[in-house]
Amino acid sequence: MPRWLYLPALIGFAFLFLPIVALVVRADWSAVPSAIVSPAALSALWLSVECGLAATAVCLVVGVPLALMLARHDSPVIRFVRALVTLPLVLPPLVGGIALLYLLGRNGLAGQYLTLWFGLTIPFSTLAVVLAEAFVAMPFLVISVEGALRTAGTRYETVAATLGAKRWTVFRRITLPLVLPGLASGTVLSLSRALGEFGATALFAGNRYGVTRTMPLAIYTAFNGSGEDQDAAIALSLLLVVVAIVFLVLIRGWRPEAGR
Amino acid sequence: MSAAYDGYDELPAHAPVGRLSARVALRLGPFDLDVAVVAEPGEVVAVLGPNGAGKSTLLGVLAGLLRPDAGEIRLGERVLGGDGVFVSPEGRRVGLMGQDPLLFPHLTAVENIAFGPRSQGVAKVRARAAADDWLRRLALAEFADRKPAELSGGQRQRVALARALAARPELLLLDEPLGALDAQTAPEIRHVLRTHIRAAGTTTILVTHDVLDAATLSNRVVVLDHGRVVETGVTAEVLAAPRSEFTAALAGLNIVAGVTLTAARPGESIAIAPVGLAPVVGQPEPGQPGGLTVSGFAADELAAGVPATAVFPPSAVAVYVGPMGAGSPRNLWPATITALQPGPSAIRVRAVLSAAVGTAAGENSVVLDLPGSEAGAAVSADLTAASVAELHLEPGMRVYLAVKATEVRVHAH
Repeated sequence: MPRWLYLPALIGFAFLFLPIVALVVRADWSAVPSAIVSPAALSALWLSVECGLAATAVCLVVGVPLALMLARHDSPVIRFVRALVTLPLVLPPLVGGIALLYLLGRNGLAGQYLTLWFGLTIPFSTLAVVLAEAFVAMPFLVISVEGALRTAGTRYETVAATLGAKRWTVFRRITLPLVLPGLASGTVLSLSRALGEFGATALFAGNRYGVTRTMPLAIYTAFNGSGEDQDAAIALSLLLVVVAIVFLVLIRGWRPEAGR
Repeated sequence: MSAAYDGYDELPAHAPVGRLSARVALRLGPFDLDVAVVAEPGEVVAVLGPNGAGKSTLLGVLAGLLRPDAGEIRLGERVLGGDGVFVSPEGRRVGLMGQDPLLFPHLTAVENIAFGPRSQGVAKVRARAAADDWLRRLALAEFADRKPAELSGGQRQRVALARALAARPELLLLDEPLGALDAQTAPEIRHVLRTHIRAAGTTTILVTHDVLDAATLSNRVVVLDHGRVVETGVTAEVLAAPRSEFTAALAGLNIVAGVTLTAARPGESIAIAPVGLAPVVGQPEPGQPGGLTVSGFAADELAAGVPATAVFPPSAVAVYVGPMGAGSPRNLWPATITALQPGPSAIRVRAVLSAAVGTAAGENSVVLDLPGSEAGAAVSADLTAASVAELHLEPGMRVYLAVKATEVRVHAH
């Protein structure tokens, strides 16, 4: 590494790390405990964790098969599908929220039938939070798992088949374990993206206390909205930082030694 | 399929033995494969051929990884492909082992070996016991709980063989199994392959470009070129009297098949009597022209009276015309020149060994020429153009071939 490159490297690190320091410095530490254990904060925290985990589960259940389909086939159609899958990555989340509303809203493309046939109304419910989070988080999982699948290749799967293993056995005992590192990092990325989701949630799920007001929305509300003070917003932000770190540590601890 | 494995313990430890009869045609872009291959139960058939001849494509078709355009594949009593039938790889009981062992990196050695039985519905405990048994047979017991990354190349290839055999394939496909191994490890794995494929009695197709593998592991060879079979027959005969140019080039080494006269451990001296050229009367005497024994040094552990193959380079063969006195080469054989072929750096003199009738013979014995294709004892010598001219060598001439025993490696067959 050329020595002078250390300068931009350290600037980059400072740029990423100093805002957190500023947050910690600005915090009114005497007010932090009460702000964190306030019913509003606890409700938002619980809702965030609940919805984040649910959204990640949704991503895993449909995202892993989607990644498998993209990795194991190659055709113009598949390439088109892959481009569409990555769209939510580059789309502003607000646009995603509006799009979800026009699909699943009361008068939406699919939503009108959900209402008509099942009496189901999705927008502005906790389910809407989960769906909005899954919408923005899933591309992270799909891309990371698809990359791992491509790297792993199909040679081990072929060997497993010649040993008499049926397709589901191959998937369960060979394919999944081989992409576990990619799956783990994809899960972490999806979960953190879901926990931080704001734009799509705000438009598609709204900001209802106890129903759709997750941590990011609670912070926004405290900082900007209904007149609560900035100190509460800062305390909640710190809480979100801690939650994110806890998730990272938990998942890294669970993740088996990669690359063996 | 799993019903066939319910009696894993009761069945012999080895796989059922099937006869393979395949006729496949497949077009892949500009390449076009159209071959027929037969392997009798328990037979090892070597498939030789230059790069791009279609060897690996053939294995892919047999394993069910490629779908042929036409043809039929029969294994034992089952039809695996053809006529609208296509059995997928997992239902074929056709094992595949390549030059890359491809051990599942996340499983230990024993788990790798148990994978086949487990996948076929054998209970965990029994699959584990079968895997342990294979580990013992391949002298890998102490490595049972190691991950592939903690094994050497040779150990990995042994685990790969155990894994393939533990799945009890009816047909085993070996795709250059020694191709990625270094010069020290290859002989060891060649020995392991020979021992365990024989012991398992599994019908085997061996793809190789190494004539030594074909000579020491196979009963029959099929030579492919440009997607067609150009030559096929008993290994020793094809290699001794190659009909196609490719086989001739491939068989650059002299290979003489025979039977050991003594026992030897690796590195010890040993003599073999060539097939079809054993002396008719009397005890062979190594080094005597009429004895027609081939003396060399053992590359493997060899018992007396077992099939073996002597291998030596044409550059180690000297040609003498007329009577000669005592000399140091242990191998001195009467022969008849069949052809002279100019090569880039030397002239290759092709000759067939002659069988002597009578007692340990000298100049007076009756010499009986045997056609090389039947006798399997054609020998090539590389001489300089000057030597060929000086000796006035030409086809039909009776000569003596001399080879130092140190140049001859004797492999088990």
